[in-house]
Amino acid sequence: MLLFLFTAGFTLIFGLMKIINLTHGSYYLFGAYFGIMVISFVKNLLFTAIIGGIGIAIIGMLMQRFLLHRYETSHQTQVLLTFGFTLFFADLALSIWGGEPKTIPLPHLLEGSIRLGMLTFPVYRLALILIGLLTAATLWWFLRSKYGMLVRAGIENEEMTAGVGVNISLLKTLTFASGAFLAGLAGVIGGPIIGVYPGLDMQILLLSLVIVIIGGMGSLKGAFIGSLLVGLIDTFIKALVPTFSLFAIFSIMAVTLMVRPSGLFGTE
Amino acid sequence: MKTFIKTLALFALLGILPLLLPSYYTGILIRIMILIIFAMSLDILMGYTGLTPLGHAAFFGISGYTMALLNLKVFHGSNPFIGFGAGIAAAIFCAAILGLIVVRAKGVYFMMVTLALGQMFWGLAVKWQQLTGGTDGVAGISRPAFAFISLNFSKEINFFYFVFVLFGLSYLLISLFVNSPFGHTLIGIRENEKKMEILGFNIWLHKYMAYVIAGAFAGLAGMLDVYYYQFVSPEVLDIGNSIGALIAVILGGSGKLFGSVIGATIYICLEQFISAYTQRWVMVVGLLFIFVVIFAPLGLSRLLSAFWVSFKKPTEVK
Amino acid sequence: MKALRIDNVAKNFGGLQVLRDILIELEEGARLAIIGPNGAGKTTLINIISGVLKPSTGRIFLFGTDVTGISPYLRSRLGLSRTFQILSLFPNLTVLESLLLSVMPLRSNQLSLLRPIGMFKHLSDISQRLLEQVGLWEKRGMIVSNLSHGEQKLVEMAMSLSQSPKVLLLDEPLAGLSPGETVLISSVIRSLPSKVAMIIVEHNVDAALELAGRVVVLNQGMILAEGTAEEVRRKPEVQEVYLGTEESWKSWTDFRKRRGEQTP
Repeated sequence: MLLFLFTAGFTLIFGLMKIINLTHGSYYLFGAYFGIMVISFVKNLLFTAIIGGIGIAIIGMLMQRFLLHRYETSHQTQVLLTFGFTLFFADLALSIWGGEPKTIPLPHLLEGSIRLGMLTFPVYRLALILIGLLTAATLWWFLRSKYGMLVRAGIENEEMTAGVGVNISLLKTLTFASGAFLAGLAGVIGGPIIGVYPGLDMQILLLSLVIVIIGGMGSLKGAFIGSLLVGLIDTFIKALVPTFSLFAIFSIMAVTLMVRPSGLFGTE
Repeated sequence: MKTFIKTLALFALLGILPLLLPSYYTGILIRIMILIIFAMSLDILMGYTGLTPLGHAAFFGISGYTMALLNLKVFHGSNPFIGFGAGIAAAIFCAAILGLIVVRAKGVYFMMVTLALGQMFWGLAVKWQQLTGGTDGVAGISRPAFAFISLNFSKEINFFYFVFVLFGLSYLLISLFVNSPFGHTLIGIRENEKKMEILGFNIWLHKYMAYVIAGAFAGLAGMLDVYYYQFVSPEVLDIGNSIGALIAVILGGSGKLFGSVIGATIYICLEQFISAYTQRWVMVVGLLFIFVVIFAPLGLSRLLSAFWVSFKKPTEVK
Repeated sequence: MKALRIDNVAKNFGGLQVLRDILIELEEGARLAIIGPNGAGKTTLINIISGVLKPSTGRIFLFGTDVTGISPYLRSRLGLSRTFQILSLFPNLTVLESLLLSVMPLRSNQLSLLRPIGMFKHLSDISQRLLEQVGLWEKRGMIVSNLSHGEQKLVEMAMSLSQSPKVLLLDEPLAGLSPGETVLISSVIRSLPSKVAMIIVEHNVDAALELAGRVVVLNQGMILAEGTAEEVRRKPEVQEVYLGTEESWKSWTDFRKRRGEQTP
């Protein structure tokens, strides 16, 4: 579910804006680190998450406004640019926070686990699933809404939409910011479970890429199903043959590419 | 003909350099040559075919690891040349298999898939501790030695010439390759793939072969790298390494072999220089990369040649 | 045997009948123009002949071989070549490089890896011949994107000749050209080897009528008239479709005479 939040942000940016943002991973990382810093003051996870999300959104907005929007046509440049930023941010994080893994403490309310039938689930994870579902629903509704259509229209035909009086530039920035927000949010929320450590940004970006390739690049549905699939398989294989968990996931990606290069629900 | 002589002269110069400069520089020259081979292999895909792989370090590392592990665990340092052959074979083998999957992807998909695959190998190297030693890496690898010529490659300067010869061969082979009909076809594919399809070229086959060849040379570079450091760790498979080659190609100019030479040289020199002042070399690399992508996407060699052309009078084209 | 035979071809997209009862035969070395107002179905017909589209009914025969189900690429190997209205070139390569590429597929070992392309003399010889045919040999070193639109069309034409086609389809070769360029391209078309059969689809009626021996007029997906250029010109149905009635035709020719332009 965590993966979904993260991937949804990525897909939002790609599906709506056709921008590939590899820095998304760094957003997560920074969100998490940020969360760690803030939580010592705020003591409330939800609040921290939102602040974290907003903080990252701001960084995202800056990046988009001043840099990325000039390269809307060239995917290759976007990839290379955001790739460079990833390196930069990763090292920055290393220098600021050091190489030790860190975690965010679980909020009291959500500690412990409950029993559902025969299985025990940590409450926090259930909460995560709920948030994930909620976000999915919101996004889905949102995309069908007027706003979503406006953005999509804006991407298809910028001049016309602007001509009709819509502030496309603002919409674009907001969309990008929302995507970044999701990443930052995910970072904070993931804190208690996965923690934060150098290299996390690449790891989660990677899984996200796999999800996006399997599920199809522009599709939120694909992101959702892809995340579920990958998450399940990952957990499954980790329990059986931990060394090969990554390998297994990548094999599925490879198969998908061979059989259906645009992913399960791809829009490209 | 003129370029041939110029290139030959430069090679000769390079060959003499370690005799003239203090031994500290020999190591740098070796690293430059290795990076040039790596960058050229990347350029085959990037500059000539139009495919930009983000995980090219995979081949660099696969060959290195294969050679290192065989060297240490199987032969215990006795027959380094089998390791050498096996390393390249491993790189070619992986490129052949990965190529089947990867070459069908277009544009951005290609970038993402190669990135993912590259990181997969990195992850494998880190996690599979029994085999690879995880992040500790594999140490104590001996350099190859010709038994019949009593050349000891542990001496830096002898190793330099070993690399030098291989470097020269690689440069020669890749130049021939790039000027052949096959090379021109790759350029055509880069320029207008649809048209090439209509004209009747087998696009997939060309891309695939380019991928395997690029993988082979990357593998060569990787092995020389491991020989040099006599140590291999997951870092050789990491994106940082791929980015190094990317920077070298972009900085120097993709699409022209000599661009890789310029780019690699600048990159290593910068690295030497900046690492002396700060530990945050990676950050600098990131910034440098961003800078290059924004301001000099065509690379310095294009800039230079455009500059050069504006000086000469327009001449009759042969 | 006819070079090309379009046998009772019809095409509909869903409920929309775009072509109907098309029966055309082309002799070896013949020049045929297909004209007609916008929406008559000319482009669809060309697409069907070249293999981009499949006809709903009917068959296409190339030198007696049924090519109806065969892809454009295979048809080109059988001797059918075509130019496109929207040029698809290699903008950053030189004229010569573009031609070398188009000449390569049938004639050399594409996978030859180590010998420099300069050593394949026959490739450059053929390229030279083709470029001379269209008059671009002197400009062979120029980058394609730096050429004028007309010159780019000539590059496209040279490239389409590189497979030594026996039947050449020219899709609006004169579209978007200045009068000067029109004259240039027309003369190139006229001077193409006489054994190449050609179908020229054109909007420019005057030019098309001058370049072709026979003409087929399409209107609303059907053949309205066919015959020699002279015959077709005089047919009232044709004049009506293009020019309104005979009277407006007369005033139009007067108008052009006054402007000093040639009139049919």
